[in-house]
Amino acid sequence: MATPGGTFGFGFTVWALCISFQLSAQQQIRGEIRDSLNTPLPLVSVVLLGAPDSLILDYAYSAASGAYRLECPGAGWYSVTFRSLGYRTATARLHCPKHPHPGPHVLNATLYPAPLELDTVYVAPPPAVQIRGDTIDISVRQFRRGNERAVADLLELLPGIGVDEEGVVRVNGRPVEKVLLGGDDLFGNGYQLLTRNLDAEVIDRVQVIRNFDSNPLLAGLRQAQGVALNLELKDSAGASVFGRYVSSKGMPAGYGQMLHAANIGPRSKQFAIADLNNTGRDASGELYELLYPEQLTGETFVGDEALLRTRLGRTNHGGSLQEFRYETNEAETIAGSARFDAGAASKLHLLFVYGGDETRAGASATEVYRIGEGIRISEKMAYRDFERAGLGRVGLVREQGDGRLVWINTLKHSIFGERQTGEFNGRSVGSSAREVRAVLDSRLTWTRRLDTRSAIQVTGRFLKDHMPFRQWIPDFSGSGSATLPGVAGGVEQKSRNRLGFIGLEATCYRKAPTGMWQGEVGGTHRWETLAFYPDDPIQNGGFKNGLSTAYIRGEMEQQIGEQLQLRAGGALVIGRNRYTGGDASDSTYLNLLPTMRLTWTPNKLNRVGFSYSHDAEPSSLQEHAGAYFLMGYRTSRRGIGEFFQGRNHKFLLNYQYGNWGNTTMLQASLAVNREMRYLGSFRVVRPEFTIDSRQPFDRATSVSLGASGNWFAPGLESNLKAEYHLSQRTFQDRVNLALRSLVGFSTRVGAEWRTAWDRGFNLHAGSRWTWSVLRGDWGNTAQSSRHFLDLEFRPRPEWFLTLKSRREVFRGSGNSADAWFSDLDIRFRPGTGQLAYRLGVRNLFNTRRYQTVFPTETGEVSSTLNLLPRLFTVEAEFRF
Amino acid sequence: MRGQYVVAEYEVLLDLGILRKYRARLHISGDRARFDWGPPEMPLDSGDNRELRVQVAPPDSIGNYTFTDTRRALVYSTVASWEGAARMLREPLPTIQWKISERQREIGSYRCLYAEGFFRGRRYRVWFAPDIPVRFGPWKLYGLPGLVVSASEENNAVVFRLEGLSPGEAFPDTDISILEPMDLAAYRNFLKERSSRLLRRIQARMPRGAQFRLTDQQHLEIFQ
Repeated sequence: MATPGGTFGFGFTVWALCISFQLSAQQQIRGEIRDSLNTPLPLVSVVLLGAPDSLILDYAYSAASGAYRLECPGAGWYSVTFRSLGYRTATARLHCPKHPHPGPHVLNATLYPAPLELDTVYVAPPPAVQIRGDTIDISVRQFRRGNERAVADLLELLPGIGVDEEGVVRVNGRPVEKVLLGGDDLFGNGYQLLTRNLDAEVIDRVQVIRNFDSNPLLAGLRQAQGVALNLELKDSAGASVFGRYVSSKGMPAGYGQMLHAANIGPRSKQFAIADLNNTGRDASGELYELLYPEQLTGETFVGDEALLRTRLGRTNHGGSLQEFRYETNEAETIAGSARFDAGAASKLHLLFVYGGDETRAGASATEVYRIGEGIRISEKMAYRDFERAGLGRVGLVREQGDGRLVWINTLKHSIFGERQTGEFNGRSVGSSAREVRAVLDSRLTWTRRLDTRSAIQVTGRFLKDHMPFRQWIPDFSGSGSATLPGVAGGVEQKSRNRLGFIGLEATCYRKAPTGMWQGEVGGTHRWETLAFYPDDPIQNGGFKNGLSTAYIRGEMEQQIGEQLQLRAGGALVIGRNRYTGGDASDSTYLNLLPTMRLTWTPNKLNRVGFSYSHDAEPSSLQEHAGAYFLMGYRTSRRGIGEFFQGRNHKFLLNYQYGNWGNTTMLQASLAVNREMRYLGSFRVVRPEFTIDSRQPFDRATSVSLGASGNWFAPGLESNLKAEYHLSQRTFQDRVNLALRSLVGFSTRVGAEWRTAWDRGFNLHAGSRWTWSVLRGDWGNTAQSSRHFLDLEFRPRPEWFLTLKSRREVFRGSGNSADAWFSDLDIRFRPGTGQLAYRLGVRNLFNTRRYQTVFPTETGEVSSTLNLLPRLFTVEAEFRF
Repeated sequence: MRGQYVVAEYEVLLDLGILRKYRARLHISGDRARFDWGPPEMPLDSGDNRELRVQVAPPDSIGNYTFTDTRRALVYSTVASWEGAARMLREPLPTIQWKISERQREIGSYRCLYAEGFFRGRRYRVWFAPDIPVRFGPWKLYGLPGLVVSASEENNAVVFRLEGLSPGEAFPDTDISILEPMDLAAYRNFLKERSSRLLRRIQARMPRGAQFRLTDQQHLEIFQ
């Protein structure tokens, strides 16, 4: 087949490309294609390409005999490509001479088998955001940049979704109730374990579920108002164990190790994490909030308010800094969550969380206290907090026919403590406190769907909360000024707080043609004891409180025409409270608590809502008892007052334009809250002054106006977000018997711009300014601003470089401070669908101090925190 | 090559008076391919509501499927009639003179080349992927050195867009002998007469004095 003179150097090509060629010079090119077994290969695509421009000049498909024929258009160099499904592509270069030989070129080829690999093609990708009823389905593919680590980083890129500095996920400003994984709730209120750690790469879609209802039997029968997120994983993650490993090393002594693994299938889901670091990283979000969620954002349940309140300060010494910023802490987290199908009708959920942390944050704070004549306080404190907490939960869900039973049992045990040492106006001071808690919480829910329009539900709860507390202050009254009677030198206060709760309520749901209503009847009993040790120097004896309530609650929702929706309801609560202590009392009360919401939806794009509610919050024994509590080295507090800690009237007017399907989204809201809230009294006792403060907040009014806009410019492939907030709060309190009125005013404006170009370079830049003014018989202003610029560069698909910079500036009362932070991140992913590796450098310029200035009700506080030195992190995904 | 079976999913938009959408599948196995149109989805709003038009939308050669057999160099298409009977159009494998240009574009993870071709009265603009070495395309768009990823008629009356590509398991059973065959000449007459027959049937049911006339006919394939 080959002529001796026409065969030339194809040996190298044959070796390299696994084909064999033989060629003779001729303008017509012919040949045969065979496989590795020398069998003729039909239907092979043979393409003749021009050498300089790769333009297709001729092409053919091989016949059943494997033969093909091409025409060489003229003299020059060409390449011939042989392609066939299931075989490795082969290419050969050839030269057609200026004076062709009479015979044809012969170019034979041998193709070798290769696995059939087909990538999915998206010519017309489905819309990034699809709205189906109450579910907004967001395909993250079109928003993903490629350098996101955890789910929280990915959520921040999605329209309408944000993650605040505490890690709370918000949809249009509203905190989400739950973050589900594949439709299942693995962590409840502690979803930050998921969003802060789960690898963002495995997420395929994020679904925003409006009017989220966790009980499928009640779907459509009650108007659930919550918002939840559901994370849907890529198919490739479904059948594997996947996860992420992060190792950090700081200069000189920082360290961090994090490992998480997950296996998410349709019938069972498991997620586990272990984290150990001293870099400020908090894998769980606030552990205390995870265990004792006093600010509930989720579905309410009878007895939710019946938890003891912590007496620790829970100060966030780190301010608003991102993770990996604090200088010293030692956090450890081990958590696991698993859901299984336990038979055909039952599901079992097991959750275990253990967290520990020890934080040593050195802070230097100066506070100017403006009461009457200005008093300047200089305070330099070193804080040391520790926490050890564990939670175990077993949940059983049984669904059979029209009935559903949910039984959840939770055990919690925790030790939280804090220690402060430092100087107060040049004098050594300090204090320490320790809180131990043990909680048993058992909840039962039984639901039965009677027919397509009605259902009943019975819920019950039993709860026990036990909290011994110890406060130790080495030198409480060193000044010799008027302090607590009988206290000199060091003081220790130990108390024991116990709470028990039992509640039962039954709810009936009914759906009418143009609306729905529900009625509820229930009864609760809560008993609480607070006992001080006999040797307590400032407080003797103990207190008891028993609160029994019975209530009827009703709510209806009515559609009026096509555009108006009215929701109105109210509760009638009858209660009896028996308080036994120094000032024993027995009281009975009747409360009527109305709520109302009116929504006008003139069309698909515009929505206007107005709501009003009145609420009364029962106090715990800590606020109710006439007992003195030590709160710190310079504060004692006595809770005295009415039975209800607070009453409030809330008015809210909001307007929303657009939705996820539009390029423009606007939102504006006006909220007016009028509070009657009682917090007790404070006595601040230190060397230079004594201040008694009573803060009944009896005429506190707050007004806030917020507006935000979100525009996507398709031509620029850019998104612009802008926000404006204005809030004012007025209240009165009494300090040293003098009544004073305070007005707090704050305004915030910000904008950010993010590009979403396909390849190469992208940026994300933004600024936010905040002005705060507090006025009493003095005035105090402060200003802070934050500016950030994130640059992303993707020179090749497998490489991703990110440089994040942030500057924070504070000004107030003649002080100013600013800080720079920069992080560099380099990611390498060898190919689509393959695992990624990262190298990161935090605090690139080694900023060591972070100073803030904030106004307070009594002046302003300037504080300085030491920061973590430069830190290197290495990260790897895994899947098997 | 033998035994390699690929399924390509296409979104098809036909604006032949009424805008219709199909989710079609192209099955490719060796020297044969079958393009299943699938059921038409709900008529789409073309945005042109200025006049009331009664649309006669015969399905052209859009029956159930188009079957291409390169070994016999024949193409078979099911053809539906208004009477409900289906027939089988049998025609020689059409030869489209594709003009391949130097334009390139990445679609998904594939490098695609641009080509133009004229077929049955319409000019098609096509992006194809040489890395998927099959000569079949959606419907009868055949003969390129790679799978058709996107094809649109110059007036966007016909649009094919590849949406997914996956290895298949079994080529669908295709029995071309069960329908009455017709050749291309018969098919051209059939198209002409089909609308006329429909017109007569409608007129027979119209009230006295009502006027009804056939203004224009739009077919996927236009015969001169």
